[in-house]
Amino acid sequence: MDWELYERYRSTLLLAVLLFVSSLLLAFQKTSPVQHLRAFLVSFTLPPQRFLAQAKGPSSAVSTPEYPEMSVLDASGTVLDVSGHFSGEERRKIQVLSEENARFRDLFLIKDQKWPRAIAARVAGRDPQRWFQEIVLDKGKEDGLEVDAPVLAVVEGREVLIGRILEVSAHLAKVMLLQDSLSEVAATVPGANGEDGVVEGTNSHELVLKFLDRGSQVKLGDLVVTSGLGSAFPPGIPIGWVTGLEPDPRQLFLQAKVRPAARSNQIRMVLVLKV
Amino acid sequence: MKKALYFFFTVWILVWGQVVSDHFLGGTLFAVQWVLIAVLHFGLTRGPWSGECMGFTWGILIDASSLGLLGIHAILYSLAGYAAGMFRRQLDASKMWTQAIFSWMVSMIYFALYLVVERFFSVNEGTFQWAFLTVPVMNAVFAPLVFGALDFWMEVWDMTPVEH
Repeated sequence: MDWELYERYRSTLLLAVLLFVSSLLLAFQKTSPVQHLRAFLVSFTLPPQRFLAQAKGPSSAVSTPEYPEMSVLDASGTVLDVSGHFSGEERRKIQVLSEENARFRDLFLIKDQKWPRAIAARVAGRDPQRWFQEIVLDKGKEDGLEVDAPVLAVVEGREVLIGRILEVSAHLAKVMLLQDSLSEVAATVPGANGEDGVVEGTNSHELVLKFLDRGSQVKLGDLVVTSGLGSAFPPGIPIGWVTGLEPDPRQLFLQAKVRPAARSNQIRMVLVLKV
Repeated sequence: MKKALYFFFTVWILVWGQVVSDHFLGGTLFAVQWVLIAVLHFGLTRGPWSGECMGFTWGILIDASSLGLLGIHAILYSLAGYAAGMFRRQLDASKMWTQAIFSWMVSMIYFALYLVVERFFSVNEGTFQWAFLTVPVMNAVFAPLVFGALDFWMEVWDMTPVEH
């Protein structure tokens, strides 16, 4: 009788067990055993993520291009235009690789010149449900990444802040982007009497610079940079540009809409600073 | 041994396929939840036990791959597998319309529950996205393809379940 009862309800019983186990994992996700379990499971899903991240571009700025250059030198050193030798498809590939290479060159140049201790990492993945709030990097604790470390991207030859490390496992790290509504960064507008405020995310493309004085001299197009207050982020790193000004809901301060300097869905490689 | 290999490869191919798919389509309105459809297939063809076991396994691997909340997909996919298994006597899983409509319905419930569970366990508030409406449609469109592919895969391994 008992066996029949078990046979009848064993699926429901198993569901209850699975839900209980999942709830425990969710409730204790910051604890060491769950973090170890996560690191173990991540190692199984990492290969395709690594492959896709590497397939996006060459591993360093100085690697040999897969496709030949458009211009080549002849024996006497004269530049020859050989663009006519390539099909439209090949020219497009050369163009893409050339742009990619330029981006990497910028990134490593900035790393060498300004942040020699920074760690370069690729974007390995994203949670589709949190696309504009988080990215996953292909490096983790074993590569020297630490929680709360500032994360920079390079846009048009200049470093810009995109977020900070939220979680690290052995070989992966999760970055909270500035666009996340929980993200707060002490910021300033250099051209407007050095006014300080706080840049907050809105879970959308835009950011908001809060707590500006009502008589603020901030104007559209002003650059917003990190102020360095609180020492979470180094000072002077660009965040974005002011695209709108309005009183805050309580009419006590002005708040500015800020367009991030780096578009979150175009970030492929980043620099993680040492905290 | 053969059965274990069949489940092992099925789990791996689908997880890696989902990771690759999310890499290109994740966050867009056209993402497809291949794994969720596969969970429904297992529930509808093999019953709630298989459905929830596969759902839990796939769910926890998907959680790990995204570095999201560990356990959220495990809960939701387990529930989806169980629900599919419980409906297997009422639904004809061989009909394409049944596959599409059932996938659409479960996907809608999945997203509603996702927001609820995330609100409980995450410091971030879950926000509505248009993808919550379009992804279920994409799942419905691709469900017959996934069901067909998994049926074929079962035949290749000679693992088609026998009803008693």
